[in-house]
Amino acid sequence: MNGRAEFGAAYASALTEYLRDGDERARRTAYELGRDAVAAGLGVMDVAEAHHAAVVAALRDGASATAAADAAGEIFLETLSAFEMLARGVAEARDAAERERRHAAILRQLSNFLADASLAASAEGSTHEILHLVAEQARELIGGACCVANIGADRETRPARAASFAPDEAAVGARLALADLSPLEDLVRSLGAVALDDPRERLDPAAAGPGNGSAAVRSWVAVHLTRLDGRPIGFIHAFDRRPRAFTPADGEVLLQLAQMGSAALERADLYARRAADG
Amino acid sequence: MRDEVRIAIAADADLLPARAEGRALAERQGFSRTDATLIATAISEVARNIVVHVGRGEIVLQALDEDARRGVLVIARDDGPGIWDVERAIQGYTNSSGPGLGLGLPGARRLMDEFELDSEPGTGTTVKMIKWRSRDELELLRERRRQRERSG
Repeated sequence: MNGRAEFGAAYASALTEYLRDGDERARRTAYELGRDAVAAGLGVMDVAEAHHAAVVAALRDGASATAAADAAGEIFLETLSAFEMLARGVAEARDAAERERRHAAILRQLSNFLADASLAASAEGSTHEILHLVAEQARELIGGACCVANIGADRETRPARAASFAPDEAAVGARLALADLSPLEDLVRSLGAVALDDPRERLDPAAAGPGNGSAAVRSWVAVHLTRLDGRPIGFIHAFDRRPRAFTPADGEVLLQLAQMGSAALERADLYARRAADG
Repeated sequence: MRDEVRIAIAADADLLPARAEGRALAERQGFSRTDATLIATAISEVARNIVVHVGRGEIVLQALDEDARRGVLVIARDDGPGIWDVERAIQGYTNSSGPGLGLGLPGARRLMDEFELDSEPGTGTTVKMIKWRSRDELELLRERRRQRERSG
């Protein structure tokens, strides 16, 4: 497909073919024309112009108005289906860009919150505030029914945990806020990075929710919280009842959040030790 | 009985029966002309993927009937070398290049309501995709009346 003139001629030919045969072969020709037009960089306006010219030519050649209108509708739809794929791709990319912009804004804001939290009056209060912020912002960033942030995985750090859940997911949140998540955390340890799975096989059924019922959590993504030297001290988990609710991109966002949360925890620890040393 | 059709895909010409069967099933399931066209397009894209990248495979079409909705399930299956990076393939990246035009597998994914790609190197590829349409109250009432008439 070199240009508009060639496309126009091929479009008129597809319409003539469909008027004559009315079968799938002509529809497929139109669908291929649409693909070729997209590849050649033609636009919807070019298709509209070719469509108009082809209909006028068909009527001039003696086709009945009803037959020409019906056939033209079929051929037009088929040709536009390739443009529909393109348009949906553009909408998807626009949504992704908007999501990324929102993530960046939230992370910038969180950076300030975490700096304030590191300076809380007591070390314990500071740790809880940081974990609470991390759990809350994790849910804000990637969605999900419930997020849990905890530390104490290294047995040196005093255990603490915070959970955040959507108001209409209180039952799921209540189950997971206090649940034993260690079977899931073993998987994060073995993978050493982002873990993304259906958690039902590893979680206690009382925490995961009943079997295949709609109350059960079917999606889970988790990452490590670490010391500055890379030693793991805890985890950020996100859960949802929808299957495959999280993507690897959500895992990347959680990793970024974990880096900020880890640094804030380290700072809080440092301030607390300095305060203790007088 | 479940409405199921299998079409062997071995050449470009096989896209034609796959599209025709998909469109016919979509019409039987009550989809609009526009949605039937989108289903036929999605079938073309996954069938083309088989022809271009593997050479041989099959398309299975199945009607789905639930209380509140009706659907068309499309399964495209091949025994080819599989896809190394499924996530990138779904996003439309080709080999080491940047994103393509958004046709092919990502295009099919965007036209359908559900899309799953299952593939590992050496084990072939299976794409499952579904298009749904909701059944409104009027349609449900009509069906209940038909059932009553049949049984009465």
